[in-house]
Amino acid sequence: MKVDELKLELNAALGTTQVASLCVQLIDQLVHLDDAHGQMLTYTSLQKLLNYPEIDTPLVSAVHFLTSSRYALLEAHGQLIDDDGDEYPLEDVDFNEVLKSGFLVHPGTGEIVIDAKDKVMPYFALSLPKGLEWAPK
Amino acid sequence: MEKIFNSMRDRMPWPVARVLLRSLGLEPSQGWQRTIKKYADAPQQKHIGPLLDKIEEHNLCGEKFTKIYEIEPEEHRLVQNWISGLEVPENLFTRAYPLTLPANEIDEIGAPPQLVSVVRNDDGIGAVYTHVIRLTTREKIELGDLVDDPSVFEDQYDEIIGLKYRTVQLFSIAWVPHDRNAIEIRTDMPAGMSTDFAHAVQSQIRRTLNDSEIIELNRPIDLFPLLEAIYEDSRDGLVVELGFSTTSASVKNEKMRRAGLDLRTEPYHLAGKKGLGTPIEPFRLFVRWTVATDDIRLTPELGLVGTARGRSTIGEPGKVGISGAIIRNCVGRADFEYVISRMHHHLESLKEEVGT
Repeated sequence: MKVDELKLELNAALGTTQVASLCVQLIDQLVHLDDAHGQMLTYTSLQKLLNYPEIDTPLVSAVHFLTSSRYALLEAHGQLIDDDGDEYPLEDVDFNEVLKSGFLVHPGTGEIVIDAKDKVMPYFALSLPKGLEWAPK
Repeated sequence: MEKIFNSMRDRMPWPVARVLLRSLGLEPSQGWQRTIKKYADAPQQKHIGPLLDKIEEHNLCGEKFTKIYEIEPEEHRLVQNWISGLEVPENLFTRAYPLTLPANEIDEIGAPPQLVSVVRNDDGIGAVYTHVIRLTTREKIELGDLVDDPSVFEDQYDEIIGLKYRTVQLFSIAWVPHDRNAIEIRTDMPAGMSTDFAHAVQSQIRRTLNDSEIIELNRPIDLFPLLEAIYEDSRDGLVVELGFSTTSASVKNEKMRRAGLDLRTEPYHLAGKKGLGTPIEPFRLFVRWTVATDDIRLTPELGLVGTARGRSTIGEPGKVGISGAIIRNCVGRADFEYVISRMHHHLESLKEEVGT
């Protein structure tokens, strides 16, 4: 599928909304990232890619749309930053559990993490669909 | 089972415990609390023997600070014989071995290392010692959890810190491999233990061996040259942490611990080296390997930790060394011996380079 077709379908799905516009802008940036540069995209990374003023609800919604719809270009993951400041990438099953219920065991110690939702940082990895075509920058 | 799991909980990182349990057909639950409850409600008597065997193996190989001493062939024969002839005394520690004692059953902290086991297997012969230390951890205290009116203290203090004392039983091993003229002193390095403390524990075990008068151990092999040797060998493992200094007066500490990623090929790292134009000077490295064995995927790590002083100080130009390796995330012999073999591979390559 060509990227332009993807953007048309997306606009048809979301209508003339700010979220749709942000999705289109994100697609334009993401397709020009290679795998090495798309391993850990945070909300801040995506905000900076778009030169967007802040991480607001429309931006968060646009990012979520691009992870969870049939137009998904991003995979969502999580990383625990524990009270010692150490980083622990989470298995996807554990990340999904903390999103759903707030329950998390520390990947290093196996002990329950108190207030886990406040200690897990979401991030996104580039996952362009196979066969997606776009013109080079 | 609860006693066994609590001993494991004290000693093993959760990922290692999960691999170990699964290798025996014991599927863990989410975290220690739920796993202990699961098997308290449905104990697995037939697994206890194999589980204790695995725990004993882990005692020799898990979360170790390791120094390697080269010895002569005759010393090798003498020290293996000496260890084989050691008599293990009968006491609370030896009765509990391979498990640790619960903290409330330990009378004395800081006594010298005591022999708890002599191990013989296809890899070598070793004497296992135990001793008990106290580790102190610092935690910020949320006043609201302790007092009704925290404002009285909030005016006077920016933070209130509590000290937690933890009684920890360590296992240290004097290990003599069959296939090398060397002695490895492997000491536990639990989370929260400083490198200084680890060196002190190492010194105690070395003193025990030297007091036997069978052997005189002086300086361990200097592992500093392994830093660059492993960093430069892009086919060997994944570099997950790297500390280095630059000629542009910067000290960097890079970390990349997501599975499958290697700092050596990370774009920012590569661009930085290219932009710098002069070689970086590594002083700290953690490298991870994947070892596949019996349908299990193991991911042991080797850490070589120096300081930003690098290789030289005024007192020791070109001679500052790294005397011990942090070997962690090992489940047992297979992955631990793999790490040791990689270290020796690079040490031997370096010797050959110096010789040519």
